[in-house]
Amino acid sequence: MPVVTLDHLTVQYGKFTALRDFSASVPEGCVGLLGPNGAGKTTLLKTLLGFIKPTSGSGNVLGMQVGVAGPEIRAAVGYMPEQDCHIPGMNAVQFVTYAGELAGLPHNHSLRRAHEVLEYVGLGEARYRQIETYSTGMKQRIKLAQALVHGPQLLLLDEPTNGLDPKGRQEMLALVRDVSANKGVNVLVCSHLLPDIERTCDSVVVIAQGQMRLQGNVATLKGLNVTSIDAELRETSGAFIQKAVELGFELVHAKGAEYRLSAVGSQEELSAKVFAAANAVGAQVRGLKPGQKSLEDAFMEAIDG
Amino acid sequence: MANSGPLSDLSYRNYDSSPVAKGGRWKVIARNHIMRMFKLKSYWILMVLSGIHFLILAAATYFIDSFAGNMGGEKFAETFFGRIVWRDQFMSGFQVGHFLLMAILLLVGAGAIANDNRSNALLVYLSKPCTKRDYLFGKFAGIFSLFFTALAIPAAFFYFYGMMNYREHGFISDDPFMGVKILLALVLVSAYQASIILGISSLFNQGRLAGATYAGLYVMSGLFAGLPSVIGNANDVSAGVQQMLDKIHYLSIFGGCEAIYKTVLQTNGSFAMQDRSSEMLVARPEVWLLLLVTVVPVGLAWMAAIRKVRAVEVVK
Repeated sequence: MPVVTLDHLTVQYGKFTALRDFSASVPEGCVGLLGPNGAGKTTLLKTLLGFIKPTSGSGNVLGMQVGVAGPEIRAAVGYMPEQDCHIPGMNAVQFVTYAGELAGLPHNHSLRRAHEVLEYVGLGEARYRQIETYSTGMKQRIKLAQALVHGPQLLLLDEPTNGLDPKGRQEMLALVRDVSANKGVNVLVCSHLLPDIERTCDSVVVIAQGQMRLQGNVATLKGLNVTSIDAELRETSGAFIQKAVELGFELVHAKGAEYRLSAVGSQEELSAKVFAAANAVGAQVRGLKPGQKSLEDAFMEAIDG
Repeated sequence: MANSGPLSDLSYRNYDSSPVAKGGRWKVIARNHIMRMFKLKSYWILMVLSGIHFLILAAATYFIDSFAGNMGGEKFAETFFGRIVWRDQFMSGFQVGHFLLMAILLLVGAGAIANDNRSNALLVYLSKPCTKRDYLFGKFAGIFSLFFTALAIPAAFFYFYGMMNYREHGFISDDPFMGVKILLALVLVSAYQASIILGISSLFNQGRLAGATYAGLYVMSGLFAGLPSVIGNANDVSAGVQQMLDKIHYLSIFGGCEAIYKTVLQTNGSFAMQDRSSEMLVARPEVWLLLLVTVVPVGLAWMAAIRKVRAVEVVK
């Protein structure tokens, strides 16, 4: 069952159209919302939360209508904004407890949850420090803690690794993955960083210029493409290419003695054909693997239209 | 992720306890604001200092009542208690302590929204099931309660002191509804001032700037409104001109508070210790003037706050 469905959603700020005729279905699990800067990712998240009313179209979050059931949606959703945000003059326990109370938890429950969540995000030792004194990495964690405190069914994370050093980034991604995989919380990660999405998400929605460009499972989009194969020869061979084309292959690209070939058939059939072509022209095959494009290739193809 | 400690299980689990409460988020916001400010010593110190008029008056009435007769001052005591208008003393208490009360208002209200703007806290508030109305009303209720408390505690102290000691001098019998009227005046003055500081706070990203703006407005409008009245009294102007100058007297934040006190208490004020001419006192305002100096600034302040508080940037 999809956690978010969007049907021809259009959002305008005055004359500027931030989202145009956007339709998508976000499945359960960890989903990446991928797009370049200014693509409309944050606008989409804010529309889902009810901060912005759609100009036209409709949407549902966990079965509740976007733009109508704002408070109900926000009660079931946790939002981690991109910008630094905290309530001045509070330590982490006070802040997260207060966030829980704002979400509707009774004070004693909220306090208990605050301790649990702060421990979980790795701020257990620093929980009584003023948030103003926190490092960037700790501020990212406290934002995640305040989003988690009320036990949301869906987490909206806007650029969760923003400003983090490599170690902090790894830890944050591990947390996101853990929340999604082991705690049963659906997560929508909004990012322009492909490796982050690749590491954490099961599926991805690509957005560019306010439009949905591509959607699907990450593995599929990365193109574990059974109709293409990468062959590496000992040396370049025009005769090999000629023979391969005769056997039904299409040359996708060549890079030195490495060729990506595509054809109809299973991986085994394609491998056999490659060996047959090489044998026919006396070429030596040094490597053979399924043709695989990176998520970046898929992303670039998608945003280039 | 978490390390399970030997003393308790702190590992994360989903929240599956009692149902999440619906509505009433403004109460959470107001309570949080109040509790944080109650911890400030400066709030309590300023409150005591702002009530200095009541302390001095209580001491003065005690000494006059207890010792003036023994020292041959029966006539003075009789004149004093005969002249004093008890309800006016509550307005005088505000007039004497108004600068300190302004400082209290700056302390509890200037940063209420401005500091949240600076730290993007609105994203935290509004991403929870908490509406803009909850947020604004919660902040207003917090400021209102704190300011009301600062006004009410010294006034209540003097009210109960007077009720216990000076009933024979007309403390209750002069105006049986005095307690209710004072309560209403304090509520209205607190709401008026809390609304204005809320609106100003929403316009800034720093509490200090919001506070400086409110203080500037308070002092400058007070000077503007006060000078014509002083000039009029000093220059023996005609009655018509004096009436017009008296109207200007209320065109300030302080004037708005005074207008509320005078209207609710049904008084023009009086001097307790000195026999001064009633010409020195400015008559209480007409209803239209009261509405002009209170409803208009409150309306503008709320409009500013409603317009400024939002979880998204406005793109034009």
